[in-house]
Amino acid sequence: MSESIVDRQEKIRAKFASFADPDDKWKFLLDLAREHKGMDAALKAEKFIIQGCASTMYLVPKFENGKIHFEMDVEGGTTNPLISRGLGALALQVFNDMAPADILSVDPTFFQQIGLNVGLSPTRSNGFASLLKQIYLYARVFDAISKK
Amino acid sequence: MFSFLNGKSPFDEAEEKLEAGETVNGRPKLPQAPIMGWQDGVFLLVLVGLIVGGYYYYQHTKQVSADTFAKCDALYVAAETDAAKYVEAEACYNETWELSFVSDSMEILRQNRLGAIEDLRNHQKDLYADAMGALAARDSVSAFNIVNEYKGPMLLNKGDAKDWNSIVGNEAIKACVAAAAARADSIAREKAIADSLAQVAAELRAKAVADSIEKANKRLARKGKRKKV
Repeated sequence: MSESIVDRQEKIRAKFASFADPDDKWKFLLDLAREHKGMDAALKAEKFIIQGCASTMYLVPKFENGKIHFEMDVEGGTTNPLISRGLGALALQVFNDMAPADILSVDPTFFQQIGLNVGLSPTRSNGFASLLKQIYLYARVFDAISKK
Repeated sequence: MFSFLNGKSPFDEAEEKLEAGETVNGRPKLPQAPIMGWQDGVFLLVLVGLIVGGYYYYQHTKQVSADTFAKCDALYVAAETDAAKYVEAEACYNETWELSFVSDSMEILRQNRLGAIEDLRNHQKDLYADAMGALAARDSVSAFNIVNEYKGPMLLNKGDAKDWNSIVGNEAIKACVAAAAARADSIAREKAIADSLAQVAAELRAKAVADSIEKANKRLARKGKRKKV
């Protein structure tokens, strides 16, 4: 049986609660970023760029079998925006391959509750908020489509 | 399988070298073969050289990374008192992308510091947009004040930086600002004079009222005396 969105949130909550050192959070995000597979260059269209991110973040949704699959990648020009990629990968750990209704059931303040925003630069916080906004927007659209 | 004996058994050589019938305690005499051939020796030396060289190269790259990050760290710390150093610190951290060794703690520091500088840049970009908006609305005084009050580092790109500097360097805008300041000053002065006049008038009024009350009291007192008489 596939994992519910609540189980995923609980796992992440427990993970964040286990961080003894403030650097552990950053190391975790770096690991997520390194493990995250990029996306096919052909998918990187301008319409999939998340507005409000300092780096260029692409989020491509695919609605299949009642679930939304997201592809995400971040480009930073000459730099390697690992934290941004890690944040994106963390969001997908919760929302990827879930039904639109499940996504919409998640409290948008969840990531604040677990302390993700602590120490996060305003630019990254805004970028992450834009990413979540886009995920919820896609979920609303696909939810409406699936109910037709 | 790897072997230093070129695929030969020690006994192979023994068979070649032993004289017929030569024995030691009734057994064939063990061969006096070298431990390894010269080719094997060279191979082993190269292998050891590679391992030792690799280790020292790794230590060297680690040291280069530590030195570079220390330099960037010093620039970043200096930038807290001298904002212009943020540009140098950013350039320094951007050079670290070329390093072959970056530990997790270095990566965290680099990501966070570049992020912090990016925040400063975004703040200046917001101010720049506000200043340009004010200019578009023909409010050059507000535009000047926005730019003039900013004490942070110049982190805009070349084109925007040129616009930014032209606002504080523009003589016409400076004249407008000076005129506006003079106007504000004279309005303030006029207001101060008006306020003090109003205060004097109020004081005079209060004194006149007090005088008239005193006179009235005296009159009443005189009248009272006459009635008693």
